[in-house]
Parts: sequence; structure tokens; C-alpha cells
Amino acid sequence: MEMVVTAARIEEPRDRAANTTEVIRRKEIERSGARDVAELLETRGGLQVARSFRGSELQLRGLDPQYTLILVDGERVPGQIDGVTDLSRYGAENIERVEIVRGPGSALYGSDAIGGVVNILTRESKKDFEAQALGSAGQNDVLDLAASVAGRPVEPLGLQLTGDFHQAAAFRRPGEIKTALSERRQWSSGARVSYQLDDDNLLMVSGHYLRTNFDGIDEGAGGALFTRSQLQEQLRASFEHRLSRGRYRLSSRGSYSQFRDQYLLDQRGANVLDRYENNREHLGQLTSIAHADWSDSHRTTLGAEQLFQDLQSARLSRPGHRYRLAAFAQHAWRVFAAASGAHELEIIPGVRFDADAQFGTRLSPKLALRYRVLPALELRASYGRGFRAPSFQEQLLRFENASAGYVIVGNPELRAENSDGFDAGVRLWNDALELSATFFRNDLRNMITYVSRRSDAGGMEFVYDNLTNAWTMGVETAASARLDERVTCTLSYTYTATWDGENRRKLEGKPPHRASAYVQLSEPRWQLDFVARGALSVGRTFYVSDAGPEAVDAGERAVVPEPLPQLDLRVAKRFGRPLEVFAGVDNLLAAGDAYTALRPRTVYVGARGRY
Amino acid sequence: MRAFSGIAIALLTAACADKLEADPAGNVDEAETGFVQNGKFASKPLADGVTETKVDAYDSESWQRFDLDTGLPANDERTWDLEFSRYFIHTNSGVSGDGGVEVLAIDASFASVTDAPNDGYAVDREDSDGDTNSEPDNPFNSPEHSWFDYDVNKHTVSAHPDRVYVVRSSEGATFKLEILAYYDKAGTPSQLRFRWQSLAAAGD
Repeated sequence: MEMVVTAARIEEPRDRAANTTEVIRRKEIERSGARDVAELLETRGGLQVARSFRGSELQLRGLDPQYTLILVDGERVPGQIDGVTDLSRYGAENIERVEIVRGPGSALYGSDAIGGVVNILTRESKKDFEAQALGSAGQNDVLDLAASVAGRPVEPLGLQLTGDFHQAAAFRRPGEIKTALSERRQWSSGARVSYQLDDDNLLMVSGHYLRTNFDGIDEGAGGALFTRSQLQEQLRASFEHRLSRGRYRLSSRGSYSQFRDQYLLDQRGANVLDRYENNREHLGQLTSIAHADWSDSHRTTLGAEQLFQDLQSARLSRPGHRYRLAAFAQHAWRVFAAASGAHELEIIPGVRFDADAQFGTRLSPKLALRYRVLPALELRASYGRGFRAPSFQEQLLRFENASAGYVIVGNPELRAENSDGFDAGVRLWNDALELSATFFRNDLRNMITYVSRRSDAGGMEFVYDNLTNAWTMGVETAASARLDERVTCTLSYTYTATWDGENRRKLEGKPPHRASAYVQLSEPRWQLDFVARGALSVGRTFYVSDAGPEAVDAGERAVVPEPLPQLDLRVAKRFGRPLEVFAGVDNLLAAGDAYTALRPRTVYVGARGRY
Repeated sequence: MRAFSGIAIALLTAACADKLEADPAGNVDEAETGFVQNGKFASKPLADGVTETKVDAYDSESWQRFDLDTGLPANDERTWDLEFSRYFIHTNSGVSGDGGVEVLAIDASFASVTDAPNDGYAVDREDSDGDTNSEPDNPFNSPEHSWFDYDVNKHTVSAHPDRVYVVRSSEGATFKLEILAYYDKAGTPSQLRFRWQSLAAAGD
């Protein structure tokens, strides 16, 4: 029975989870050739990864990245830039699986979980001894090295050590001096110790350090050129106690993370505009979750959470401090279940209460229904209210663009944005085939945007305010087939309609049509695996700022670039369990345009050793 | 366990990387030839009595004052004619000073302005609601006669072409002045560059 954790914040069987939980397993991660979570998710159905100098960010259900909550081992991570988590920070070699829960998740997770929740679960070895090493190199200075050792030197002690290095060259579009994607060098190392106290109690302590250098060239207003260097460090330490006794489980976790972001702009030809920032964020979390399987018909999850966050940044008018207390509950009630497996109805209500030092209190209810019409036909529906707390930047920013002569200022009076999310879907399956279709709609209100006003000191000033609204709606469809042990494929298509209430137009950059495919061919005799991953985005709309006949807003014109096809191929040859050699090509079609930065076509080769 | 302790110590001590430093040489462009630096101003004589002057007005906390009569920076309350900070320009008159300076804007090429008009001059007045700043109103920053155009899409400032200001200085002399640029070669903003000439000389 496959277990998942994200839909209830504690382990439960996947087929009984309140929301459909999509799982990308370790084997698929290895076969995909993805180097990090961004590459892993960019060809998944309905997901879109946008890349910029800030890193790689996820768009789900037509919403901007700040409306999807990214977790690592169930915990929030620090170091969001403009409310966005850079997914390329998380190297694929250290990941056991990724769980994706679409739809509103604020009733369990609170802020940000409007479009959905992506939970990155790091590797947790259960073997007596295992060691792995991976090396891969390719065009565009791509180099990936990773090693891990795990085992049980003494019962009941488990130990795991990991380390990895990744690099890739900067990318600039033809004819441009500025870089569209930065040069990236990233090191990380981690350790996890587990101690099985007895049959019921497990203790775990872990630590992880990540260091990333980004180097690029920026262009400012007036033609100024800057050499940009960025050094990000993330340190995370956590402990967890898991208690499992009969029908009851309790998980208590605590974590502390620190994120430091050094940012240096070195003006070329002058030093007036040189700028150095040393931003530091502290994030502490304490979580306790209790789960009871009262009977086959009733399951309850109760939890409490504390969060402390502190951000010191030269861009803020004063340091940001936040303290949040939350309690949540979710109950699953199987109203009836026929022995045949058909006619099974489960109702899952949930609610979460947040009290935040800055935005006050917030209640996020949810109701989910799961009805199994036939043993292999299931209907699901859920409704949830969600919210997004204003970021420190939106509240406290004080940023002057000297080149252009305007100032952006935060607004401490901002309220949280809120949302209503609804989805309903059907899933049909047998041993070889799974078909699913889900309709979704998200309505967002009190969205934070900025308005211009005259500053006290003269000049133009932009200030954040809760002023606008938006909606997204669409249908996600997917078909997975496992024809025999040699052929597996998944095809998906998502239609997404969006509306930006502020500008009265479609949301920028969200493709109405997105199709994706994953095809895996295996030849067991020759121990060969071939994987093709592809995605096609059609109908993305961008708004460019030169007036023209198609002007839809003051001075802006809608542009719909050519469809964006992405295709990655990888072939691997195994030599028994210990050795695998592989070769692949990323972005085979050399896709990418002025609106979407993709690394150029990259051919790579590598090997993985296992003991 | 020893290995783990070592890793843990390494993790905790590694959390503080070196500070990023800008290029120590500053990679600053060489100064343009022919300009004589005086404080924040640098001037260069052109042909026919025209002078080109650059001012570093980047500091938003202070004003850089210039005396057209001497062609030099001025610290004296009475003798300065124009003062600069970022993209704002004041004249030594009205609410900004007691120098009696007056300005008139003319939409014409610099070469074509050879005589000072007799009337139509303005002094610095209290800010009105007719613009988007709280600076005193004068022809330099009035919506109709502003020295610059602002591209709201690219957020860039550029000098309005063929706009000449006739300035009656604190000494009663008249000058024509045209602002040429807001950014220097390295793209640094608030590096105003203007050319100017005594109209007594221009009329000769």
C-alpha cells in the first residue's frame, strides 16, 4: 500500500487521501534525468516552471508562484525572493519523492496554499548499508556530482550523509549583453541521524547546508551595466519524534532555518550605482500532529503549529518580525462502504485557525468528498477557503530605483489576500490504465498590487495595497497507461482560463493550453531504459509596453508568442544493480523565446554507481 | 558517530561565507578629456563661447548650485543661478531664493535662439497640484515645459529635444541653456549634461 503524507500532514494510504495526491517516486526521478525539482516538475501535467534571475518558480492552476506552497519534509522553507521559492535549490539526488496536492490547502497548511501544495520529501534510508555516487557532465558547463552514504552502524541507530555539487553556465539571448539566466554553482551537504527508541518511538535529527553562487549581468535604465553576484546560503536543522501505537500516531517536529542572501551589483564604468545587500532570514517552526484511526469509518487529524520568522534586509524600512500560532483539525468520515469496494462515500471536513502578529486572525475551512461509484471509478470534490499573508517585502519595502527616479514602498496595513477554491473530478482505472479529469476554479480577492502616488519628497512613489482580484479556472485531464513492463506513458492536457481583475485582461504568461507527455520504454534483457519527457504550452499572453493598434491598456500591447515545446530525452544502460551509464539531451528542440528563458540544448553523459 | 560530529561541526561553521566585494579597482571609466572639474561640476569650452557642463546631482539629500555668470559652482546664497538634485532644478528666485533669477522656455534649436525675449519669464513659485511632485514650480519642471520626457514603460528619463531655456541670472545677464542628457556613459543617472552661452555673446 502506497503511503502519502501531504493531504493529511501525516502518513495515510494514498487511495484514502482527502485530495488526489500525485507522487513522483524515486525511480522516476532517477530515470527522468532531472537535476533538481524544477527540472522534475517542468514537464508534469498542469504544472509550469518559469525561470528568471531569481531562479525557477512553479505555476499551478494558472496562479502565480506565490500561491503554491512549497514544503521540504512537510516544513516551510526560508529564502523566498518576492514570495517565490526557487525550486532549483533542491537537487534531485537527495529526494525520495515529490508529492503534489492540487487545490486549496489552507485548511491544513495556512498561508500560501491556494493553488496547491508541493511537498519535497528528502531521502530516508531504511537499509543496513547503501552508498551511491553520481557524476554527470554536459554542454553549457553542466556538471553534477552527488554522493550519499546511509546505513545502520549500530542498531537502532541510522545514519545518512549526503553531498552534492551542481553547476551550469549563464545564458544570454542572441544580441543581448545581459544574462537571461545566471551562472549557477551550488554545493550542499546534509546529515540525518535516526534512533529507533523502541517499536513505537522514532527520533530523527537532521542538518543541511546549501550554498549557491549566481553570477550574471544586469542592464539598468539609462544603459547602465552591472556585474551581479549573489551568494545564497541556507542552513537547516530539525528534529522529529514519531510515535505510533495501534490506531494512534503522533508526530512532533521542530526546525530552525537560516537563509542568507548576499547581493552585489557592481556597476561597469562607474561605482555610483554599486550596491551591496546582506539579507538574513531566520525561520523557526514547531509542529505537533496527532492522528487517530478511531475505526474503519472515522479518522481524525489534529495539529498545532508555531512559526517565527525574522528578516533583516537593506531593502526593508525596518526588520520584519512575524509570529504565528495555528491549530487545525481534519476528520474523515466514511459514511458508507459496500464490501465490494463500490458505493463508498467519505466526507472530509477540515478547518484551520491562524493568529498572526501582523495580519490578525484567519479561519480556513474546507470540505472534501470522495465517492467510489464502482471499485475502479471514483468521484471527488472539494471546496476550501485559502489565504496568503502579505510578505515582509509588501509590508516593509523601501526601494528606490535611482536610475528611473521612483520609489516602491511597503504598506504595514496590508491585509491577507483570500481565496475560494473548488474542484471536482473523476478517476477511472484498471491495472493497465488510469484516466482522470478535474475541473477547478479559484477566486482571489484583496490581492496585493501597487498603486502610484505622489511622494512627500516629490517624485513618483508606488505603494502596495489590497486592491485587486483575479480568477482562474480550467480542466485537468490525464491518461496513464502501463501497456506491459516495457512501456509506460502518461499524457495530460490542461485547459486554463484566467482573469486579471485589475487590468481587465488575461493573467500574463499563463498558457490556456498545456499538454505534456512522459514515455518510458524499458528493455529488461538489455537493461536499457529510454525516457522522453515533453510539454507544449500554447497561447501564452504577454503584455509589452509599447503602444500599438492592439493596445489593451495604457501603452501596453498583448503579444501571443509561438507555442513553446519542451522535450528532454534520456537513455540509460544498467550493468546489474551497481552501475548505470546514461546519456541525454535537455531541451532537444532548443526552445525558448524572449518571454521564457530556457537553457539551450544540452547534451550530457554520466554514470551512477550503487552499493 | 565521529563522522557525524565532524559533519555537524562543518555544517555550523560553514554557515557564514565571505562577504561579497565589488571589484576593488572600481572599474571606473576614464574621465572625458577637456573638462575642468570644479566640485560636482565639470565644464568644457566649446566653439563660439558655448560651454558644456556636467553635474553629478545623484545625491538626493543635497543641491548642487551653479553660477552661470562665473561658470563655477556657487556656495553664496545670492550669486547662484541654478541648483540641481536628481532630476529637479531650482532657480534662485521666488520660494527658492532671493537672487531674482528668471527663466523662460522656448521650443527651438539651441543655435536658433540668439536674442532674449523681453517678457514671459517666471520665478520659482509654491508647488501647485498641476504636476506629480512637490517641488516649487518653474519652467524646468512644469508639465508643459519640462526639461525631460519620462518613458513610463521603460522608466527612463531623456532630455526633451530642442527645448532651450533663457535664464536671467542673479547678475542680470541673460543666458540660453539646453539640457542634453541625464545619464552618463556608464548609465549613471542624475549626471545632467547641459550646454549654455551668454546671449550677449550669441547676439554678437
